Amino acid sequence: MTFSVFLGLVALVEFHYKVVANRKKGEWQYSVFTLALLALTIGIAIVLSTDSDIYQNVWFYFNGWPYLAALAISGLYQISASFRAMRAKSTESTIVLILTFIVVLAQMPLASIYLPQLGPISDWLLKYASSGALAGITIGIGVGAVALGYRLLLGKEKTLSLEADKGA
Amino acid sequence: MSEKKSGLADKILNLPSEYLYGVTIILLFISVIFPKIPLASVSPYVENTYNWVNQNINPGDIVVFELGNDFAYYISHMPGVTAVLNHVMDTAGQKGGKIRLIVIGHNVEHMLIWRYAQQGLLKQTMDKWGYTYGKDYANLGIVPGGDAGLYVFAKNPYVGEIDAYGTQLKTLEVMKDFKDINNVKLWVQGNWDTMPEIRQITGPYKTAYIFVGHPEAAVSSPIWVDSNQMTGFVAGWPGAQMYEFLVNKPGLASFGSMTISVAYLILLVSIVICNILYLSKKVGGA
Amino acid sequence: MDLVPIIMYLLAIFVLASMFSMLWKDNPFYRFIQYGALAQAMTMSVFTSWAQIYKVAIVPLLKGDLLMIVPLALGVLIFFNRFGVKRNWLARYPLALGIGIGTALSLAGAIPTQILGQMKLIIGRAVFNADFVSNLVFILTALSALMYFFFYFLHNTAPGRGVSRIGRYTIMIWVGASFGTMLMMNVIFLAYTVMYASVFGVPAAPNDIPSYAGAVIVVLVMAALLWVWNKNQKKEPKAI
Repeated sequence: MTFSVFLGLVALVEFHYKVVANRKKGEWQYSVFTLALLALTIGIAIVLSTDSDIYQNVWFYFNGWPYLAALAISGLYQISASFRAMRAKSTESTIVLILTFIVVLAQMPLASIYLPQLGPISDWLLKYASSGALAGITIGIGVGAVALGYRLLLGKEKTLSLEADKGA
Repeated sequence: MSEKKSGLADKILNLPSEYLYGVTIILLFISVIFPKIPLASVSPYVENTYNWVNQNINPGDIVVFELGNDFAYYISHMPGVTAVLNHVMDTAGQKGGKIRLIVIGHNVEHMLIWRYAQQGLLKQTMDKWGYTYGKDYANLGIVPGGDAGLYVFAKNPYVGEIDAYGTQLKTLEVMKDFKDINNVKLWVQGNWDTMPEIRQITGPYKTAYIFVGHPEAAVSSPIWVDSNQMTGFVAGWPGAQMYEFLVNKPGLASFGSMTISVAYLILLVSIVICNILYLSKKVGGA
Repeated sequence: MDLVPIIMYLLAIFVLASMFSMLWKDNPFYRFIQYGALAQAMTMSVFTSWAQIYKVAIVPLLKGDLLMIVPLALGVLIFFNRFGVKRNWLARYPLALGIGIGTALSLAGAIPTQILGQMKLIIGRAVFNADFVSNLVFILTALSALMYFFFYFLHNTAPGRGVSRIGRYTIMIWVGASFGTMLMMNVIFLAYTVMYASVFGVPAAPNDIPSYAGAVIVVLVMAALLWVWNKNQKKEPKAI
């Protein structure tokens, strides 16, 4: 599967080359930048190494921080979603929200000072009530994985067969 | 009156998201100024993990440290991993020696994260006890292949024959007498998924295993600890703050406790406001 | 005054601000960073993959282990995915091998750990001790969750409906706890980003006035440029 990464590189270069060649409006400048950065970083990695300071700094600024920022933005989206959409509309959703509230509040350092009773309650819920359900679910997942693996290894899984491809 | 109320509820619920983002970010910036919050209680699971390390780690033990995530997700278990590894090294140091630290990874960013962790967070402890590369610790690089890779590594850690920097493994003193997983005293993992390690390492070989994961580990890991398939776990920044409290070495998680608390508080207040407004609309409508 | 750490900090602020500018609108700053991240991720993947192949297969091959030709040849067969429908059947062989081995190892590990291990935990809790009530709660929640999944065909019967409802509620307990911790995880990244921008990343926090001033200037200049860019965008005519 490691070899498939090289396929990905070929596909990426091919895609962006086509965008540049066709001068796709509003997009070709970004593709030029992508190809230039790709060439530059490959050059740095070959000449110096991926362990060099320059390469690692390029990595931090183009890969490390953007992904961290993307996750931070998803945190903002979650706050926005919790403000608009997390409503106790049914019994199930009420149970979910109550547990969410208790678990998050118990893990909050500030709450552990003013509500010290919450820690043991949350610990009990996580150790017994939630873990009980999870133990059952884990067994179910294990049995499901065994069943799926059995079907896969014996060729009974149609989605991965040649016939499925022909149909598509 | 009820129409006015529901109008107000709708107005508040339909506030542009930018206001919410702005308020959140401003409050988080302000929270950085305030001092860190002292810890009031420690989870029994974290305490048991700490006690296990104190009682069982001795000089000369082989400890495998496995880094699994990419850099962004690594932030979530960075304080926990730092606290646990520092504690392991300090425990061995106080007993008069050093552990043998073997570092492996699964993600393409493994080398960069190890350098970030080593240079930034573990350096002080490693310098204090005099850890040198090749003699006391080694970075074996990426173990590819998920379950298959772990299966092979457990039987033969010399697969590949060279470390992450091209040095022959047989020439490294730290690899001496390390034949297979039965020689490993402790496996510390910083990742989000614990299942491959449980299936291939702790299940067949019963190796001691400490999992440093996201906050979600507080929910998913107790069943593994209670069924003796995991020695202990540290869940995200809250768990890391507990561990830092136990080892009496405040770190990242302790420093960030006020900001983390404010972030969680904003989340909870948002949920409460949403439900109050929804209920008021429902009551007003009825 | 050492300028290098300050410049590196300001570059990080620029990257973070570019990413956060997406919250307002898709804009050139965000697009450049996004495409740059893609190029960087690809480079890293390529070189790391090459290092793995070199370490695991090529080094032993050069030392005389001729069996390594087999995995290398299988890996090369993956490339046939690019050569049209007539030849891409060759790429199935390495995929089949990888999926087969991975599935077999996962199964071998899943049965003693996930299935038997958890069964032992549930049965092991059936003891009359000080934690009897708590253990009973554990066993009941586990059994009801199991019955919800395994006896789904009974959900339409009267007793089955009751059991499935209890099973649903117990599963919701786990879902709620898990959901809460998932929310916590993403919020931690947001908190860390703010902490990095205000303390950890600042070269000489908290007394580094030039860095803070530089960060404010960077953000203001970016905001001004985005305002000019937005003004120059052609406005789409409103639908009648």
